[in-house]
Amino acid sequence: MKAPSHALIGAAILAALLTLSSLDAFSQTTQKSAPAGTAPVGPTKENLLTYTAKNQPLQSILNEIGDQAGVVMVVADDVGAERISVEFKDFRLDEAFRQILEDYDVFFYYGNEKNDKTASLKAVWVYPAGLGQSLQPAPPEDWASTQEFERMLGDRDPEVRAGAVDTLIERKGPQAGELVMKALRDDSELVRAQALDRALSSDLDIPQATLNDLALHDTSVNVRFLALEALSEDPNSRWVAEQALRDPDQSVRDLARGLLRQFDALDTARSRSR
Amino acid sequence: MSSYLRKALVLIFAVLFVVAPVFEEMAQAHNRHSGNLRRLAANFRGFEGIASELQTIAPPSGTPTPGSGGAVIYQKTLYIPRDINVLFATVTAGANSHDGARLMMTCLIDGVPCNPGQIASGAPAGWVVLQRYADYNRFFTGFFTGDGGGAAGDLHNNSINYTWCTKLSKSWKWKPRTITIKLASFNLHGTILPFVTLEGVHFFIDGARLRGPNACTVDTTPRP
Repeated sequence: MKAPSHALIGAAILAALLTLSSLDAFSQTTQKSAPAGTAPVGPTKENLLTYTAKNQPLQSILNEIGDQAGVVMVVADDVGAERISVEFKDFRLDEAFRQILEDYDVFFYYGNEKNDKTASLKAVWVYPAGLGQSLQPAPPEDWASTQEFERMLGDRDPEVRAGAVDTLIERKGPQAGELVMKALRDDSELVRAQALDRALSSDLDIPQATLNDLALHDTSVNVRFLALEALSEDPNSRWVAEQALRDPDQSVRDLARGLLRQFDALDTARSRSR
Repeated sequence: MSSYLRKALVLIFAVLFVVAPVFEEMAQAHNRHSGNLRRLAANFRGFEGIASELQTIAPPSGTPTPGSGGAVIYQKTLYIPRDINVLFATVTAGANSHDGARLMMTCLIDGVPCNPGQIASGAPAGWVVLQRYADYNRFFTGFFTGDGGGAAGDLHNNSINYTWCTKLSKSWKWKPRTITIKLASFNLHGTILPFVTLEGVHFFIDGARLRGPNACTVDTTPRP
């Protein structure tokens, strides 16, 4: 009984595929090759494409269709040099891209704007076959360029500057030293605290003198607190903790007291070991 | 439509839908880890032998403010990133109670109870009961010291774990916060040695940015 049931399922799938392809054939007439030169017949209407090109680079075909249809094309550097011929007449736009790009990994982005009744194709990303499986959609802070973030450091909004500092320190790691020093002089408490917090979490070296100065003189309690906390592993900072006992904020004074207790315990342990 | 016009439209589209969101998102970039639970402190104590137990007979109290009384077993002042609006305090430990004493704990942030409410088990406001055991000595005649001197009223080496959440009020100034955790013994029957102790204790302080109805609020699912 196994063979007949498999045959039945196979026949059903085949029938479904045939039905789908014949339905497609009713609504669209297509030939993917032929005529002479590049001849865009007309703009897309309701996501239907009419376009002809012969022996043209894939990249230029994609760009031309993208321009015509208002779809942003993002094509990987090593894609698009080969020449192909295509002919579409009132063909569904996404299906045209699917056929042209059948040998590549492709991401289609269907966006739904406020006034749209249904989602429409907004952008297409094209990668060499096999590369797409290692990619996934990412928020802008993950893909915006480092230069973009560097430009944001000059933004008037401290929230934007703080966000940019955060991302740049994370991206640049030990090379972010200069950036951190500059951010620690920012007018905004938010930017200074964010820079210091991220730098300390990233084990980025901040000069002792800078930390001492921030711990004792910064106008922000958050920055003074973070700087003093960063000095906790250096017994040479005892004098800073002692001065911080006179800090106007209770939380900094409490932290200073805790540090002094810690330094005392360390001294006791050292003298015992001698 | 001319090809120049079409190209201009595509460019405008790209700016609006691809580039613009970058700046929109970046305005909130310092919040980009907001949904994540961020560990702000991890500390431990009570691993240095028998003398390192955290022990008290101090009773809890709901007056003058919820979470009054008890003994401080953890106090830490921490920098809280500005986008965090909910703090979590977790205690996990081995616990002992003697003479039928109930082990209770509370958490305070800058002296304000993490949760000032009152639970069903008869704890004062702001406190939770984490260990409770009937003192069977009261129904027993004979001689039995148990394993802690409190005889059948002793309850030893139970794993306890509790987490409080607290929403940081918008009106609170952005500054370091002090988290305090207290331990208390509720000596219901007035016994002689109502010690409660913790050993091998871990404390974890976490923070996150959570939205409206999920930012440490009362759950309104009907009670069964």
